[in-house]
Amino acid sequence: MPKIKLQSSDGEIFDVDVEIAKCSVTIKTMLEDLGMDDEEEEIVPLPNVNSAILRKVLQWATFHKDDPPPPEDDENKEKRTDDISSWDADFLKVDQGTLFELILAANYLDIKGLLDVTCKTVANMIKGKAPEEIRKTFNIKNDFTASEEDQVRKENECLFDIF
Amino acid sequence: MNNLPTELWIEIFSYLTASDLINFCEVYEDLRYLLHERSIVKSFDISGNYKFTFIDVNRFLLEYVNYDLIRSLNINNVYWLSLNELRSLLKKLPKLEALYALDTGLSIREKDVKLYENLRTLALSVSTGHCDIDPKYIKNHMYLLRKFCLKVISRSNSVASLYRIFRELVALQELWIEDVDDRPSELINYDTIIYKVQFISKLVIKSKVNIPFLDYKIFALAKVFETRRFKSIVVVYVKCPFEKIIPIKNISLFEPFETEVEAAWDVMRKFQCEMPFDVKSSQEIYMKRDIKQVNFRELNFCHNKCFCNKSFIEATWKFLKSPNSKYLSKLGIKSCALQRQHTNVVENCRNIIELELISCASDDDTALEKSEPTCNVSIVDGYGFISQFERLRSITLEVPVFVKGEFLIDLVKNCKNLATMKIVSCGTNTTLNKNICKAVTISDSLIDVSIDNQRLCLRDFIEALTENSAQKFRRIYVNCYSEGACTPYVLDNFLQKHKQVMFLFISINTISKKVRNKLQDILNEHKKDNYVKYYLIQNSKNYLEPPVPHREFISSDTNISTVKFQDFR
Repeated sequence: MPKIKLQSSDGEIFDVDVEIAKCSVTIKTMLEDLGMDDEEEEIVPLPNVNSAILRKVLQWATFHKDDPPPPEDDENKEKRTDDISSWDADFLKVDQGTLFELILAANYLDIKGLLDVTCKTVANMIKGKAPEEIRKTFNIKNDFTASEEDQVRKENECLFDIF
Repeated sequence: MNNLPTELWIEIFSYLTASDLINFCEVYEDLRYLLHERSIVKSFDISGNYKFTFIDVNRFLLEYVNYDLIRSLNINNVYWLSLNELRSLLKKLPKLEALYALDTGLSIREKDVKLYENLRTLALSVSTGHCDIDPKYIKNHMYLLRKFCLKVISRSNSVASLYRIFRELVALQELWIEDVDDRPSELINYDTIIYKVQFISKLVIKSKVNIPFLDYKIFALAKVFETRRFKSIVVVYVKCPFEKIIPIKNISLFEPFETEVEAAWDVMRKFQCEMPFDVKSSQEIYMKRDIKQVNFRELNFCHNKCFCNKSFIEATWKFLKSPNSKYLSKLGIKSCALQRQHTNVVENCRNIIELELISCASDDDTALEKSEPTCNVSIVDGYGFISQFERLRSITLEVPVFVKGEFLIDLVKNCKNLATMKIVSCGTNTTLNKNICKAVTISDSLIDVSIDNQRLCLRDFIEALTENSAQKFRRIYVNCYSEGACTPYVLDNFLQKHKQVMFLFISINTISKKVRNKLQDILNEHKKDNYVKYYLIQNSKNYLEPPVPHREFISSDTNISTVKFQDFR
């Protein structure tokens, strides 16, 4: 099977089957536009994806390489989020940072299946939850420094006083 | 998460309902502008959201979303809004194209019909008594309507008024009719309706009373789905090219069989029994004449007793072990199937969220009702396997008398999302009752609980509910033989601690009027503060049905591989 070389933002090079790489519409169009020959050992740079994320993306693409193309979105249909396959669910048991980076990568590489399933996963983190629970769920290891946090807490306390 | 661009948030938002979005934007205020500026909140769905029992919906909408943006409103089951509130709400939504208002006060009275002016999609519950309006109102105000879902709650007056309505709706493309009145008097004649709306491309009929086998080939409608399980009959027709309309069950589609599933399909075809598929799979199979590409979402193998034999059971497991069942989320099955090995099935169907396990000894007609489930001893150990479906959210069980029910403890421990549990049993088995009580006490996730067991000790059960510390219960239904030493004090204690309970319905076979009144008094005391709450204790001989929106919860009908009218879109 013909191979292709993908280069992540941090310079790591991945040897990938062309068929798997073509999961990504971005790469697929790139190859078609450039008319790349199978023989040629060209390196495709992917400046927006780091090696850790690219490795995950390729793992996903390898598992799903034989999937039928995802159905077109139907505007009128309610979108469901309970149809994530168990493999995908296990695959996406990652920290939130990685999950959001995967969304960005799927969007940049234009991999609809991966974009759908990652967005569904985030949606499921929000669905049916009260604001309190949502806050808890997305409580990303606070960006605030300790003193900033104190400041915020004070402000919040003031807010509560009003009620 | 803050560096996600707007278009990706919109992508994520597209999976959420309006109330999810509003909750989310309460936390992330920087994203709130999306609610107003973009038409994200095209559809507003508060169906069955009890949060809105405390909130004025009109004011809520005004505050959070732009009225002009709302294209679709789902208020199915929002039965607590008065007719006036509903009408004033609709008047404010000029762009509304789809209204889902099953089991609300809205109907087909003159005043209602005027509000349906721009609607292309409409779902309503009616009694035929309310449909007797001048047809010119239908003609003048509902001419845009293309998809119509009608739930007939009662046929008390003449059904002829229905026919007059359809005479004015000739442009309908999709029609769903559900008849939930199980009295046999004056049935709906579906032929008469079809002749009036003969351009439709999809017709769905669900009925509690028997309907004739209808055939609409002359309108190029092909029957793609039919089931006569339990008490309701469901038939689905879709428009399709004439040459495709053939009586599919009479021919073998897939010979020679390339996969196990094809062979299993053929076994069921030969039995002429209910096909286990849901509507979507059924349609795919019959239209494409191919089963290999189909991903089953729902399979229901609850069969009539006469099909209980070795080859049927083997076919069942072939379906469940096939790659087609990888995404299965709902499964209905009879206990006889538990005689076989099922380890591979649990492995294969890890996504199951809803399970109905019905005792095989009972007949289809009486199942889940007065049946005395007996059981083949070899299947007793089989019940343990259900707790391995870790994603279960809803379970319906008919438990035979031999089963002690230890598996219920594992079930509530392992299945962290289990919200609905319905158990039917006749057992004199006190161990089972103890285990039911223990399970409801330790569960962290149960919301709706329904127990139909003559020998249940009501007092023990209510006390077990009281002890639960998760405080999530919303609907409780009990049917038992006697009040079993349940005092007003016990109920008072329960409702004191679990104020969030919206529906408490206790039906007792032998309760005296005096005792009943005493218990009801305390229930009345607790529902005083909230008129949405429905608490009732009654003698099952003077059985009074609860209001329509709650009937589905206590009904014995199946939820799997059928058509739910709540899902009409």
